[in-house]
Amino acid sequence: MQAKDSEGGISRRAFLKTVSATLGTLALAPHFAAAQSSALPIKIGLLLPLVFNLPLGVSAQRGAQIAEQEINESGGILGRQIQLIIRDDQLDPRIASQRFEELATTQQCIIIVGGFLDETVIPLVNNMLPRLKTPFLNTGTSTPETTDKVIEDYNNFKYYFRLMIDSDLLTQDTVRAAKGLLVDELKLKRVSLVIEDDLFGRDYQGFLQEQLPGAGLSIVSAFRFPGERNFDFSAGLSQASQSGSEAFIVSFIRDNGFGFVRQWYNLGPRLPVLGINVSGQAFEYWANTEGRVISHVYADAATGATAITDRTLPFFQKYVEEFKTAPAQPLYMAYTTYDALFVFQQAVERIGEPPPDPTNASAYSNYREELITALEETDLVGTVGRIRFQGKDDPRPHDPFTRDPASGEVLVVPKWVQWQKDAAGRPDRRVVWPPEFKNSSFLLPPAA
Amino acid sequence: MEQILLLAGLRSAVYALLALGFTLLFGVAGVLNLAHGALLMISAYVAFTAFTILGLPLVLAVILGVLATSLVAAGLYRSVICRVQHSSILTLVVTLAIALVLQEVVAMAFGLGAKSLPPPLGGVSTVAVVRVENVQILAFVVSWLALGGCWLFMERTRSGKAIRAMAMSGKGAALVGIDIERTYTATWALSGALAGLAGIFFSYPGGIDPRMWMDPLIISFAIVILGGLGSLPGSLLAAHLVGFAETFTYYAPQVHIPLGAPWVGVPSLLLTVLILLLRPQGLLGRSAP
Repeated sequence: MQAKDSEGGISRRAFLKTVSATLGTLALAPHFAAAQSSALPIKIGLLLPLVFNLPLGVSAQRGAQIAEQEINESGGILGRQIQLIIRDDQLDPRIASQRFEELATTQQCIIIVGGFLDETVIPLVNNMLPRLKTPFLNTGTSTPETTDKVIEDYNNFKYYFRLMIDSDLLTQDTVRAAKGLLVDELKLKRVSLVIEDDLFGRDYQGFLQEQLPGAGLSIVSAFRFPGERNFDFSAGLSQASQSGSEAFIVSFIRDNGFGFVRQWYNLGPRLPVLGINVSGQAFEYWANTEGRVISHVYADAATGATAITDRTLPFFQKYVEEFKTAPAQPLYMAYTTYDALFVFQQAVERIGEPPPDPTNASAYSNYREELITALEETDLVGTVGRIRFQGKDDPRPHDPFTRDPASGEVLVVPKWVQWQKDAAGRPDRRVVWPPEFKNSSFLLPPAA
Repeated sequence: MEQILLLAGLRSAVYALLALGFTLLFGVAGVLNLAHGALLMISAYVAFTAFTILGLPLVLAVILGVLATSLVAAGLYRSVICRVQHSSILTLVVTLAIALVLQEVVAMAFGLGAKSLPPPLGGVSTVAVVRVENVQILAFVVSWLALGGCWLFMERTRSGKAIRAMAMSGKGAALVGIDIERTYTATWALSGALAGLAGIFFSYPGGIDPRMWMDPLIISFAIVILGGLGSLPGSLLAAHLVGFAETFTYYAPQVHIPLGAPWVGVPSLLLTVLILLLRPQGLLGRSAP
């Protein structure tokens, strides 16, 4: 006979069973959640300029995808797979900030990687980081303004890290490269500047005018031109020729430089060219200029022809084997974005446990804070060099050290890459500076 | 000085070619075609596709580019512009919208990155002790041939006379039996072909990209305002004024005048503002009755 103690018609035994099962379920729920959480991938936000297949953004996305594949194939990070959540910033400051917020909140990415244009990254850093407190590994911007924020207000901006060299360092390195290559190696004394008239170009010109004389180079002419216009460089070239110039130092940021390169070759004077040309880093540049870029030396993060570290060439090979469409070889942001994912991996491994369930808001937010400390201790051999971030009290906190402050060992520095031809007459890009990474001597431009 | 004069002459001829199609449309149809710059872009991209992707010879690719632009211009007229040209404001808005749509279409198809089309003629020549790229000489010759051909067409052919008649009076032309729609279409096709030709020369040396239309449009606009809206001789004169002013601005630092390349767009705009203030009908334009 069944005892029926309740008025609802449920036996006491059945009632107890139900209660036990419910309590048991409740007691086990966190474990189920944990089990479920450990099965979920770690979400990493990727914020890139992908509008109309912008080559730099496409290349960076490919770099990140290679890193994702390598990390997941080797068992993930502390047993958890990673998953990239990719968003296009459309080169628009407003959209970039919106997408960043979406990645940090709706998508609950533990960290965000990317950022390209200064104009999109500066407002994003200023407005989003203090509020969202989400680590941001910037892999494409060179403005010093973002790092200045970390210096001014560490607590609110400590979430910002950069794997790139900033424009101040790039400018200083131009003087070093010019001294090493033009003065010491080629014994030249007079240079002409060809500078795109933008914010970077003006600062660059000002700095070069101040520093080059000390390096043994006098500036005999300076030709500044408006970018984003199909420009005739014959005036600048003839100015250089008439002033007895022996080399060009150039800066092309938004301008593709085609006009200068073609007219330099066709009209002359064919003097050595060294400088910054963002488009000139792409492998397709050779075809776009009908090979007239021969002998030009541009700053870059790495190149497929030079083992900056043990990781550079394997990454390069994987990229060119996997991706056959333009950009057929990795651009600088592919290297830095690839490295950024391993920087994150190292930071998580340093913490010793993977990120918690994002639904536990306080634990998730605490973990992001722990990540900052772990990222500050980064010491990773990446594709572009050995990456160690400067600390809170160093001159440029959360930017990479270019050299070890104690030993002087080269860590992450620009590589000055010359367009050359290989033995088969195919385009080749070889590092000619600094001496630590150099794998070719400087070749003079072909005679006219 | 030889260099400045020579390069200014070369530049001005291409500017005249650029502005001719723009002013022709205004003269005949009263249309300020803000898609004019985008037509240049179409020509450059069609030639690029034909040469680089389809592997056709460069000359054929260039001809295809010009023909395609002419067809696109005529197609635009028949499909869209003929429905809005009664309102000058609406036409301005629609042609600007067309330019933006064409920019987006090109960007989607080819990406934002710059492409390059080899110059139709390589090499360098020395003219009066000045080294000049052959492509610049070719641009000069082709521009003047096109200008001359255009003049002959307008003066000597029935279609050209019809276009001139339309420019004088649309109603009068209709009364004497000129097919208005056909003449408008022919004018758009001719304007497109001239823009297409200019587009080929504008793609050297800086390459082509989906935003390349803006600069030629601004230059055309300055030239036709300066020369007088709708006045072909005025455009020719203004093209030379703008071309010479720009070239002098480039070379000013060599004679110790504090101008130079960053100021290159300023003189033409200043001239335009001055002419609007002092002679709103332009240098050779007719004043409103």
